[in-house]
Amino acid sequence: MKKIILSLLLLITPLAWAEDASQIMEEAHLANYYAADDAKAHVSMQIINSDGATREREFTILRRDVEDGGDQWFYVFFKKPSDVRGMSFLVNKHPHADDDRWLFIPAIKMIKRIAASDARSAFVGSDYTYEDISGRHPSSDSAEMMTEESIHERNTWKIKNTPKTPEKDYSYRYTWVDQQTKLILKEVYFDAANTEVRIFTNDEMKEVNGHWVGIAGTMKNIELNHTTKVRFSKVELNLGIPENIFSERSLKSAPRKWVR
Amino acid sequence: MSTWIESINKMRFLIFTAILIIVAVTAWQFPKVIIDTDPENMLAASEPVRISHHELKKDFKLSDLIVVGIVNEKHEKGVWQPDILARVAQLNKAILKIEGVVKVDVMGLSTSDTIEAGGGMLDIHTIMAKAPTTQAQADALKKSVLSNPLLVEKIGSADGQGLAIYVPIKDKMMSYQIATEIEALVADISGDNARESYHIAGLPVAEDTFGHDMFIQMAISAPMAGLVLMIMLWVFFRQGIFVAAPMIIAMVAVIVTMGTMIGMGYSIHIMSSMIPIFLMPIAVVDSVHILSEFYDHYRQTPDTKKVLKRVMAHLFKPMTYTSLTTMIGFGSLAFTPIPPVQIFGVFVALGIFISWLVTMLFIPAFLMSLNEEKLAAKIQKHRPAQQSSLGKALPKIGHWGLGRSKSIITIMLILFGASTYGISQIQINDNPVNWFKDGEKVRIADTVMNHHFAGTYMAFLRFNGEAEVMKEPEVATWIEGLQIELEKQDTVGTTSSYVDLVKRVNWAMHEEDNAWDVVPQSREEIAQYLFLFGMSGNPRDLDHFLDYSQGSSTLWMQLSSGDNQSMQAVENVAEMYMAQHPMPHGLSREWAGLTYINTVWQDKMVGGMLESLLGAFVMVSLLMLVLFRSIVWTLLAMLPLTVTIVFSYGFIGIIGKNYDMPVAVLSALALGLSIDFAIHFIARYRETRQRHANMDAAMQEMFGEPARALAKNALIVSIGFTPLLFAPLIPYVTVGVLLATIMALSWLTTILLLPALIRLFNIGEKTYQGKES
Repeated sequence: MKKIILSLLLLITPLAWAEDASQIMEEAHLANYYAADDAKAHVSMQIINSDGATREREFTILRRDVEDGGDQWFYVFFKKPSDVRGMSFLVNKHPHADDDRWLFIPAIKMIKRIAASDARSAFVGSDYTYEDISGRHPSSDSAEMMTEESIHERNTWKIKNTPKTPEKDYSYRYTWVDQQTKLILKEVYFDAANTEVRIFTNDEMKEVNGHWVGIAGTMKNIELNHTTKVRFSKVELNLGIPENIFSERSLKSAPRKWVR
Repeated sequence: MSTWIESINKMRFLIFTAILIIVAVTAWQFPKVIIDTDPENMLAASEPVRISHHELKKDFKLSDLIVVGIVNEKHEKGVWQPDILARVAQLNKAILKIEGVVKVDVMGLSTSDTIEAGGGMLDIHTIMAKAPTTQAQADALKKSVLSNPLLVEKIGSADGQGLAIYVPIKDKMMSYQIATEIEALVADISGDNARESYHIAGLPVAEDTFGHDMFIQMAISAPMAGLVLMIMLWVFFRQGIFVAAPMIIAMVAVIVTMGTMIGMGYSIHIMSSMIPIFLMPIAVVDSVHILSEFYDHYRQTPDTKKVLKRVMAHLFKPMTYTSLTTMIGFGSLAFTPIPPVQIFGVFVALGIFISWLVTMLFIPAFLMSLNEEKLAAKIQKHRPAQQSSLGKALPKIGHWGLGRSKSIITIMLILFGASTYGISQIQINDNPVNWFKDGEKVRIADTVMNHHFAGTYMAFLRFNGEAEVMKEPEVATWIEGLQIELEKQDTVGTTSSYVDLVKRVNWAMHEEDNAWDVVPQSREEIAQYLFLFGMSGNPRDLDHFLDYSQGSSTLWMQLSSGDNQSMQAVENVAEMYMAQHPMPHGLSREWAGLTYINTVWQDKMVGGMLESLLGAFVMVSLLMLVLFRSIVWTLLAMLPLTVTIVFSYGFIGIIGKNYDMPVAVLSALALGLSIDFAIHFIARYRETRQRHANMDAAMQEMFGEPARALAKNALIVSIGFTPLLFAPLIPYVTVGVLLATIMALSWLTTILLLPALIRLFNIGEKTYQGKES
């Protein structure tokens, strides 16, 4: 009898952990990408190549959730480099389908729909992918609890996420989720040969209106020795950004109030 | 001389031991060997073009490229068929996993992006994310690739028969290994019944394959040269010990020279790999002279010491001078501006010095260690040298020549004139792919790929200016103009720059309307198109053309020929355009790329070789003045080699063989080697003439033993180089053929032209007139 209980326990324990891991990834997804109902931030981005040469990007980003864990709207207004000022970008994110994207080119005053078949392509030429910015849905991966670890004296769960359909740029990744805030503190991507290919680190976080948000992060491409640093400033949540801001009209003529 | 022979006799065991120790110490260095097959090292690392080439690679994240070609010439659909495309996709993806491949930059159907615009949507996506399953899909894909100026002739050939995958590699020294791995992948993927053929091309492959073959070459040719020498020595002397002694000298010279070179940390380059083959025949020449005379005299006077003293007495001076002149010939290469050629020259000169030294010490010591009775018995039982076929033929040749002094001189003058014309026709050109024989994989791949595609030979023009200047419409328009001009050239398959990307985005933004396939005329528009391009797909694609400051850009040129002449023609066209259309916004330009670098060292080589040839000529002339103390004899001594060099290069010009690296290097060497015959001949003639009443008698003696020694010398050196003819690599074959020809020619001019001139102009007769009466 004891033996049966023991073997049952042995069977159940890994299952329980697996459930936990997926559960944690769901919570982390919401905490990282769906905090509050909308958000606004000023973002400065530094793209640093292997020689230390740097490209700067500055933009304002607005977000509005249609539904937690579901569709979202993003509006991005570029301020720097100066000769691209006024370029703006509208995204309607669909977690289980291709996103809709529109881009406005001020030099020719034209809006163009942009195909978005590849969520893993680079976001504005940085080391972040579109998916890194807008969030990868946890249902795309199978999660496996590895261990608990402490990062900068914060307790985390280390979870292995393996894409259910293989991705071209990595095979699996380890995600360290902060136990208190559910924010992702670190992510390391590996290729099929178990070599590290990319590392994300959350460099700073802050509590805004009762929600914890990451306000500084670094994404490093190991193979290319290429790094992108991102800093969010003026982060505001639950502003009640109207739905009509996320429209073609805003692309052509930026809603001053919201992009200042 | 006789005290010297006596002291050698006393110290002979010391001599043997010393040689043994030096050989052991230098042989000990061999495992440290470093091989360098990089032709870029033909230029010093500090050379400006190398520095700008490396800066270009670093600033624009460029790598050397291997090009994999997939070709189907038989089917009307060419390579655009579902099964072939599926294999190409498989290969393209598999290549990403090879160690040493810069996978983010691999360009091919399955890894590169394309910009398209359909139904109001701008779509930047992988050209062939999935291989088509139906012929209709394949046809559609073909249409979209071949109508895209960024892809046609680069990824897909315009005739639909070829596809290319560009494989950037982290280090060009890995290209042979990577090419081998790709071959294995191809074998695996294509199986036995594939309808397409696969080719691997690109300059790095040619260069690295050359390095690989060089090893094989050294392992085959050097022992073969040794074997040929042994056979010749056997034919001459028919005595094991007389074969062994020169062979020991050759071995000692090769081991000590190579050991010293390796020990000093110099790498084995294409040039220095030829040192053993050069050194062996040259090293044995002095000992052949000694043994040849020793052999002839010993027959009459079987007393080793006595014969040695006599032989050494009149051979010491000519042997020393011939060694010196040969050293000057090779040593003069030290003044060329090409490091591997310098090292080659200096170490061959060192090797010649070592062989001279060892010959002077070892050969007497060796002969005196032999048992006199046995030696006498061996030599006596052999027929006299005068009765050998060589011994019989030479006096006849001499007699024939002396009787036709005027005709010989006239013929020589005519040939000389023809040769000067030939020299004016010389084509200075080189091409690393032509280093391989016809039918070699590398050559076939080169032909096939450059027939179907824009070209596998890369050259770059870099433009530098203030930050962000590349966004100025004036600059973009100017670059576009240069590209149009360059693409008119036959050998320029295509050119690429960031301007092409801007034009492509412009076209795509305007619903694929060809009227918009132009450079936008506002700075913002260019900036925003570049930003758009960088926003989508792989940002690295742009980094290869435009740096982060947007103040520097590259213009890629793909040439279909690796001939230096083609590259030079392209350079001239570009420079002409730049002279006629001054660069806007104070831009400056820099050339780079392996194909371009090859032309730079070729220029240096041609100029440098001419200088080293002239330098060697002057030094050898001065040495002759010191030796003969007579201007007339000096002129006479310099004549055969001058004639030989003029003939050889005239011949090269007339048959249309390119004046390339091996040909260039040979000129100074030929000088150092071919003067030897004249030195021996004149020194011996002057000595002989004193012992005879008239010129005829002296000449008659000259065509006996002295002529035999010269003939042996000529045969050894020219036949000694013939194993190079069997080399798998053309430069070695060229060196072998030319050196053998030069040696044979200079021997022939020496024994025909010198007697003819001496007789015709009664050279030196005034000196002897008193004695005759």
